Amino acid sequence: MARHGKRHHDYPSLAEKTLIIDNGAYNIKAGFSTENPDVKECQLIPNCIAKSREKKVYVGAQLSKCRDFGDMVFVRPLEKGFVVNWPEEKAIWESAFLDSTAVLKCDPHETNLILTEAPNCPQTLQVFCDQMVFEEFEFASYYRCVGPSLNAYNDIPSLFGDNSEQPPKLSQLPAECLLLIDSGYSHTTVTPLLHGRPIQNAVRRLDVGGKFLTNALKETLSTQYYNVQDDTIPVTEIKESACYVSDDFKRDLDRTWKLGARQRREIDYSIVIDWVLPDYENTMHGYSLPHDPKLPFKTRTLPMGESVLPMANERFQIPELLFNPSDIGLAEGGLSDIVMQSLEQLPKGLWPAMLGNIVLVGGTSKLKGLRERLEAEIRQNTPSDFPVRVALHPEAEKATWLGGARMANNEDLMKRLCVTRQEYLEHGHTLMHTWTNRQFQARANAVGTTMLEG
Amino acid sequence: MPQIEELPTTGPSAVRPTPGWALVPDSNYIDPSKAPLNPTASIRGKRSTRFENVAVSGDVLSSRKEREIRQRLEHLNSENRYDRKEVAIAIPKKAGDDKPSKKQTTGVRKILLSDKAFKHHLEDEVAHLSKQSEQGGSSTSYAGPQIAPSYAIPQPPPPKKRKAGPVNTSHIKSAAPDTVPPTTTTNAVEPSEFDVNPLLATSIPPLPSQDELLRLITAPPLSYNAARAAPASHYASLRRHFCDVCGYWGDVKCLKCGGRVCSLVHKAEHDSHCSL
Ligand SMILES: [Zn+2]
Ligand SMILES: [Zn+2]
Repeated sequence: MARHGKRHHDYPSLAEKTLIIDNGAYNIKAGFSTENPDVKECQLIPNCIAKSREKKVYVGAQLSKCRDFGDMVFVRPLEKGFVVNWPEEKAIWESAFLDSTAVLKCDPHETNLILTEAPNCPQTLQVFCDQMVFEEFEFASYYRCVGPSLNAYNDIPSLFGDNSEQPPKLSQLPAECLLLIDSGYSHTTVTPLLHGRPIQNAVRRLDVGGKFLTNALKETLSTQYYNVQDDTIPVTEIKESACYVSDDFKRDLDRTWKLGARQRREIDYSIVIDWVLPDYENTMHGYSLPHDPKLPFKTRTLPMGESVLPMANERFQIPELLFNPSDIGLAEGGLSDIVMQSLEQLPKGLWPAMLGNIVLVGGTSKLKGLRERLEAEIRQNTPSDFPVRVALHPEAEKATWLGGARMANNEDLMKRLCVTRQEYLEHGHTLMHTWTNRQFQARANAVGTTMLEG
Repeated sequence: MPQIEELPTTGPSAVRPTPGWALVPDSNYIDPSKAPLNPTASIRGKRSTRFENVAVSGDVLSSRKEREIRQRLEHLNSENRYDRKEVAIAIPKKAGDDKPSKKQTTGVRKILLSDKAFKHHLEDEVAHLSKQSEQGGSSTSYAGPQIAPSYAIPQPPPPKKRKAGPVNTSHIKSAAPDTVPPTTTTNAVEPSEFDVNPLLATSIPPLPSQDELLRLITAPPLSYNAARAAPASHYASLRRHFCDVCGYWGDVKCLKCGGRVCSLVHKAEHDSHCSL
């Protein structure tokens, strides 16, 4: 083709509006790009279809109208972090982005889309996704990438309290070295990023995430008290509010040995709490009360009828599964092990920059004590004069979205990365429909190469 | 880990192991029935000598327990406690928003009709990759190597081959110094006591060459299976067991079912509904 020589100046123009969708298995994080991206523009849309005990069906954002989460049944279009069920995802996206009442209504023909996926997605599912975006939703242009990589466009130095006087300019983005840990609903991944590009050989995944922990907590509570298997939302609340990562598991376990009814043994009541479950009549949310040592260690009912569960070692034993998955028979390394497994794939020369810039994002990373425990364990595993710094993004759940919204402001970059609908109609069907997927890879590689060469 | 002396003494018989129970001496004990469910378990599990001191009789128990653990892990990764087919929720038809429904392309129709679960897509990927490697594994393979390098036993990264020619790595430090912790900007090489252990060695090797960095950021992604975390290198010695009743250390083991309890009090409770 004749235009080969000046190809680099030939980028197509894009639509003015960009929609950024961080398509999580639990929540979709979505919003339009603005000049000064702020998490306030990011909507959380439950990525599920739910049916209440009154058999009412809620699609995605409609769930916010629901007042009774007991016995609720959910289906989620994502499995293991990847969109598998497109009829469901289509319904959820339509209600969020296309319907007249949609919270983020847009005309896809006039909108660019940045869409995230979890790392290491099987290619068939990527091809499905690209076909849906262009052939069903018909977005004007589109860039799909692994979620963790967008975090390189966030203000990383400020997370560590560096150079507070001036945040990095757009031209200084993406951050050069970043070890991004994303602990979400389906799993936890470690992704080292260099100039915003994932070092693919070093990406590692631990199959423990929020869902696993919630289910483990359900299992424990159901064994000890009564069946809470269908109370996903109340149990998720317990996990988020009452559970924590212990900084000394052995010590805390010794402090909470209950021993059962016949043997009295002094336990440390500072760890024990009474969790009050919501009844969905007077209370919508659970809350904790300090445990009265004079009360027996079992479930009881408050005067208003709310059920109370005493909780002791469950509080830290459930989150412990992130650090010691073998406790439950899962033959995978824990969080700090996978950080080491990832680092071992990198040249040693990159270690200091990676170890000094570890950032946690994702809803599960907000568990109390997680950041501190991870930092302590990594420090133990690495040479003492490599400074280890682990930061938890203050907007852990929306951080990836925010990075995407910031990236969207770099018009030149967007033009180089996005595949337009025009291009798709022309080439999309080639290479067994993998053309788009290969383009994303090739274009991101080209951008990475330019950044590396300065 | 607390030893068995922690046990309450409610009478002389209480401290003596009851038939059918074993006091498990220490935390390094490996319960074959709870051996890892990693892909290689079936290959090395049976002949491993670590499992010789097992009191539990035979493979029946261990495979039963293994199945139990697998089922439990599957359950912990499931959405509801039901099978997905059972909880199919009919997607409600939208009222009011009825624009004439768009004509769907063949591709979209196919995708919307697909009832493959993730595991089917994963099987497809595995099959595709093995076919590719049979055909001589082209290096342009999109899904990358199927087996992750440096698995199981942590190894220091292989020595990097230096390319000839000008090696420009200075920009790594200079381009965005703010993103790099201050100490790394000095490339001081100080030997330390950690030097004996390659993992803990502190002599910071020089930054990789530009070619090396380029290779790192342009490599294709790994397959789903290759990116899965390997067991920790100290996995076996760290395997901990907990009381099935209360979650405390499970130092006492039921010889009938392989379950664990913390004490004779909870042993009694376990016995009342031991699954064997
Ligand atoms: Zn116990
Ligand atoms: Zn038993």
